[in-house]
Amino acid sequence: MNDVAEGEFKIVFTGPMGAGKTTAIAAISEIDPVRTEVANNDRMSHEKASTTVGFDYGRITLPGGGVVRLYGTPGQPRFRFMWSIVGRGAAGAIVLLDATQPGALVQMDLFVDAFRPLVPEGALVVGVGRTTEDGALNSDTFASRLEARGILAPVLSVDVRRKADVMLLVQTLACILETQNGNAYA
Amino acid sequence: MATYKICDIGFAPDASHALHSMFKIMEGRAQASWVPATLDAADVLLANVTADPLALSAWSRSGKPVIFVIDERGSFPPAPFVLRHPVRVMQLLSMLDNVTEHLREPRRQATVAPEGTCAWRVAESLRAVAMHTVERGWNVAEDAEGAHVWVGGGHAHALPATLAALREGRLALGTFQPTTDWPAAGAERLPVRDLAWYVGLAGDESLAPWLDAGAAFRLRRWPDFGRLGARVELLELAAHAAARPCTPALLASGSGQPLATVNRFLAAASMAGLLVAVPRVEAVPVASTAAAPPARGWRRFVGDLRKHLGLVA
Repeated sequence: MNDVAEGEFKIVFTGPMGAGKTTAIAAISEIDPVRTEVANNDRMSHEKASTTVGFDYGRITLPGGGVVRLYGTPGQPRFRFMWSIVGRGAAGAIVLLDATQPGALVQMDLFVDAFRPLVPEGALVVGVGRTTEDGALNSDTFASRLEARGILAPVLSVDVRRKADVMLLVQTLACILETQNGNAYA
Repeated sequence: MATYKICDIGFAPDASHALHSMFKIMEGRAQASWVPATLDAADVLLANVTADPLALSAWSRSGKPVIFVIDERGSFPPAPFVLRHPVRVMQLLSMLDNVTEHLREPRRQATVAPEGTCAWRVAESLRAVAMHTVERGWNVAEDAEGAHVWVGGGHAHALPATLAALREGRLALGTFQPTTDWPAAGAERLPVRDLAWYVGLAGDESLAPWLDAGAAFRLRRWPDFGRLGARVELLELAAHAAARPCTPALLASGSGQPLATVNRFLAAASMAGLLVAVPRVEAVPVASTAAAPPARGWRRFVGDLRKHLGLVA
């Protein structure tokens, strides 16, 4: 799928249930995203009414005719078997988190560890939502956690309901990819 | 293996004891050997961020490195070495290895900006007061149009319009001075680390006087561009500086950005505690992304993506 020679390019949005993966894809996709949502029967984890059980899919067509395919993974660990399927061949991954969720740091570890092996080295960006709400962890806490684990990845405070914020995540990933690939030509 | 002396201040006895135990556990695993010492004899200070301000102030004048330890939910101070409580052994080990690299660099003298570089005087004045607690009083800086930014207790305070101007780079602050006044009613606060970023970005075209032009730098952490506001050139510089250690000149040639922009980026990252200087031998030439030959698909593809994302005109 990630065959740039063929004009295909895949970005995966991942993260726990309720972090905003479906919303993020909808914010920047040029098509109405394909969703595989069912009623959420895990209200202990999140109060949302529905949740993704397969994957979400959106698309961006570039000026030169290339296509960026946007995939969203299921957030629940019981659908973990889908993560490697959806993540295979991705050019980069965007991990979305909710800073008010209990165990958000552990969730970050879980998704970062799952997707780092699936993408080129360094091609991973973390977006943290709701950092300004009472009781939320700030983005420095997430960055500090990654740093302590020897992982250098951008951690950005975002509101995925805003297109500009989702674009910032993709822009950051694009800059990383360009730096890596520019260097590879040296 | 080098041996460095380290002093811890501002910790409860059990926490201090735990830190000393960690030094012993790290023996043979760290790049250097670390032995506890008194404040006067120490090479490095490990300080609770709430430690005696007078002791911290005296230490800052020594030019020796300090590792701050902050509370679980505390804001990061604008310092290069910060740990969050509770500290784990591997975190401390990693941090002390970073400090070891710093100590191996040629010691940089005087962090006082040369006369005439007003922007750096502002930065230096902020560096001096950033860690002051509110109990020590507030410090305030003013711009030509009367906007004020207060600093105290690890936060900056300003009216919303002033903060907006700060974020947009439209605020030309004077130096921070002690004041008996409290922040204005309606003032909002932001972490002093964020203020430090903006002050660094508003610096001179030249390299900040506390940075060594011959050293290589790498990001130890990305700036939170979601919070600080993003500019394309800063995203590109961060991507390069995160990928490998670069001298300012290499960073400029690799990213295609003007040296003045590179210098301001490095100043901002340094002020915000995001930058690490590494031995120059680790710096490797980077290919200019602007000059890289077209590769099958990739360059065209990323170029198209950049156009779509508004990363190029």
